[in-house]
Amino acid sequence: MNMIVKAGTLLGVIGLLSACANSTPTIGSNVQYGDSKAVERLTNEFGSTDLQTIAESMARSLSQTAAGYRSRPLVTIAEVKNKTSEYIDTRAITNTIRSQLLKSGSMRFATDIAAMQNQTDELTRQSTTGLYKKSTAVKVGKMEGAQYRIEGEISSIVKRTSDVKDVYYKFSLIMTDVEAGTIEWAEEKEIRKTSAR
Amino acid sequence: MLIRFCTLVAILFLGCSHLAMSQTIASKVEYVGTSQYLSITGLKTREVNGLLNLIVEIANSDTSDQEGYYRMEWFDADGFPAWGEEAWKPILLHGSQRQKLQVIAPTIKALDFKIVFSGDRNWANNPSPGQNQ
Repeated sequence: MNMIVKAGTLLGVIGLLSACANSTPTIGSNVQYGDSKAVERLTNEFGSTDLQTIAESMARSLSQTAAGYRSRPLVTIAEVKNKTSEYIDTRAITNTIRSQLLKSGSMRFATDIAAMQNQTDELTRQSTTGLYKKSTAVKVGKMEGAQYRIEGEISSIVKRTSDVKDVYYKFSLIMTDVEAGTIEWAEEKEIRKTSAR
Repeated sequence: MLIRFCTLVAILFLGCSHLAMSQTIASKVEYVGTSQYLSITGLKTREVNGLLNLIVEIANSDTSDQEGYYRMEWFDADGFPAWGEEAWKPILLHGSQRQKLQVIAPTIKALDFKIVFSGDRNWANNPSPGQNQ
């Protein structure tokens, strides 16, 4: 009897170990996760590497300029115009630039035009509906206006021959002093992508 | 006699500074694979508005165009990462070209760095970060 119990325990342990060795926390094996930071060279349309490279280059240059200011400037990001012939989500580029600048601690951001409706809705809801405790409800008239406005554009030149397609992108960004109307910072990033057709 | 002595001192000084420079570069560069033609041959640092600035010189020993990839790793005063994972960036060097890259640290907390570099053509089938080539 004792022998049977021992053998059973041993088999159980072996079974458990083999189960541990073969199991991974996945379901299915048809999909492979890739490196989101790798250089993407599938086609020469605007891609993830272009977005990441442009955003990083702009944020670093802007951050260095802002670091020279006496206090962290309050800025707002306006629209980046897409002047290329292809669809580019320019909001994704400005969002990445803004995230990097906030993370670096070099700038503060005021609510931009795109988010203003949500901001005023929440402000109005808290201050005028009477649903909230007076001590915790936010007050109207305390929003801070941005000192600087960041805006830009992306343009491209596309050339094709029978066997080659060449795309040149230029991303330009400027920062304007809202009160003075002067351009305080400007930066450009160029990218050339050539592919065989 | 004096000229000879001065020349010797100058050569020793140049040799030492070259060796020190090579050691500095080696300690700051991490090659992914063994790049066949591209290598980092120069490195200068300075601080601008509290942010670390680098000039990285990359050389192509081949007479044809060569592509490489790089990204930076940033560390704080305690050696911990001061920034998230950067994207790999492509760089093209023409035949026999030396190119200087200017790199700016993302935050004033970044006090130290490492350059992670990969050539598109590596010895012994080492993978490069370029997808779907």
